[in-house]
Amino acid sequence: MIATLQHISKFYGKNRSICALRDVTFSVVKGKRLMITGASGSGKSTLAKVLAGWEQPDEGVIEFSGARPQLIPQEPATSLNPYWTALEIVAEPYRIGGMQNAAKLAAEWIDRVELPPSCASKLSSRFSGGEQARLAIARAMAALTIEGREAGLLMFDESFSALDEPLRIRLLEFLIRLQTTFPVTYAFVSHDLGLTSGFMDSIAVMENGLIVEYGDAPQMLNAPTSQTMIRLVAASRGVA
Amino acid sequence: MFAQACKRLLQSFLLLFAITTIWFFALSFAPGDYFDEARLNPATSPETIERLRTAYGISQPAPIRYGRWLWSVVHGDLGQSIAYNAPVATLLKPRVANTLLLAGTALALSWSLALSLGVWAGGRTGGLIDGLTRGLAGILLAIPELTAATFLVYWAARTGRLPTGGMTGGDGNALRDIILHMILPLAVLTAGGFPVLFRHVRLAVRETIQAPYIRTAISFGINPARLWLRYILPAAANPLISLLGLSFASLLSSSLLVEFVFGWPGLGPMFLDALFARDTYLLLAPVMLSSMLLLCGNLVADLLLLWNDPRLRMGK
Repeated sequence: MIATLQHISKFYGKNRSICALRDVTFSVVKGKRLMITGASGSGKSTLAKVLAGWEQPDEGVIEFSGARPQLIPQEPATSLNPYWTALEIVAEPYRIGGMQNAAKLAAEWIDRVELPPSCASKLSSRFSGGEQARLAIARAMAALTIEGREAGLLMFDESFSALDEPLRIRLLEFLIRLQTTFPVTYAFVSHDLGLTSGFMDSIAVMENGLIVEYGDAPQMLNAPTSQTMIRLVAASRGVA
Repeated sequence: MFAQACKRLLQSFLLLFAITTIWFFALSFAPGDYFDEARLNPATSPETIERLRTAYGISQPAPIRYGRWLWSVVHGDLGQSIAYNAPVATLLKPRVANTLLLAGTALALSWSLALSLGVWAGGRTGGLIDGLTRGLAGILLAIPELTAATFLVYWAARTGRLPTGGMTGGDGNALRDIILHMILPLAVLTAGGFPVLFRHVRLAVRETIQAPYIRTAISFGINPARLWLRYILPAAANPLISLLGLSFASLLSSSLLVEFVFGWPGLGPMFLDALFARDTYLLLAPVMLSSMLLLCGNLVADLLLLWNDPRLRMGK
């Protein structure tokens, strides 16, 4: 297990009127590719934010092995400090961790995500959408592998939805290649099964802040059981 | 960066020229002049008035008067006041100093309060401190400056605790006197300036804190000092720097009415007198100074922005 949630609840609004997560207990299996899906407002983004520490759960415990899970949000650019250069951004997790050779390690990650070395001194706000996504991945991987730790959980919250399809496929293929050298675990949050589902090991379906179905990806795509999953599969096949 | 600064400086001079030109001709289009009231007095002969008008140069057409004024301003002479029969510069000097003392202190006070409370409240939105400071700012914002000033003058006159006018009581202790006379106008000006600034600071900090890149940094386990100094404050500073530039612009004009109510010997009372008397040159100088402050403020803000925001510094 790379991360475990126990009885996690999260409320929003005045007097906790909106319940985003209801007593969720769930484990993310190490080294696999997980998809978290469900309709809008089902709590899947909140689940990712709670795991990444962007939001604090109101109830329950989160445990993870190794580094804190990293999240790349819907618009990766917003997770990059617009005042900083690419190198500064990727080096930051190492600097916060007090590592001496932060700049050198960061430059290695910029290279590994296949960004040209000339990018290092550019401001992140000058990058294209695809480059920003790669930069966010480099930074997340730096945070996950800090102090020689074994790579942990990297989550994507519809991170590539603004990119065109060929670029999305290239990024997915890159991520799968990356998994062969670094045993990183992926979780993709998405409301449509689309092309991503074909790359997945397992799928978790959320509804009203609960995980209502979880299992092996190919099996669930062939024989969905929950109402939400049946609708999502139908939608992905172009059946209304 | 140097080229950008030069360009801004040149633009500022052109703008200053445009502002004074518009003011001068707007004033000269208004019917009548300073000597209109003298004309009503049967003891003054029309010949005397004509002689005075010629002596002060206001019988000449506006473009010529403007050219002469511009020429002397470029040479450091702000012209002559007709009403006071004295050089404008001599008249303005002590009054500008008094206005800057009052408005500058009020500005510094408003900004210090707004920055400290705004950062505090913006970092803890929804909490008790946030609620209290927001409530206070809302109440202050709703009270018109003139109402507050009038009320305080009434209070001071009734209780006699603080002076209601003038600046020095002449008892020899000048500093104590200035402070005592400053308390009430300063309170009104600070109460007027603080809420607007506070709301901007609070919002800037609040919006910055919610940015995903700040959330990401927090999830790395960053220490609070680094988070505030390296992430939140530089990002929140951007909109506030522009606001600071505008604050500078209001240094001479923000306190005009309050000075009038409290009898503070600044620009305010003289400016109003000069306006009613159509004392053109005495009016033009404060207008020009005020425009210069606006341009300087904007220039300083631009330079600060260049320094703070690498996106501007590093070009496209």
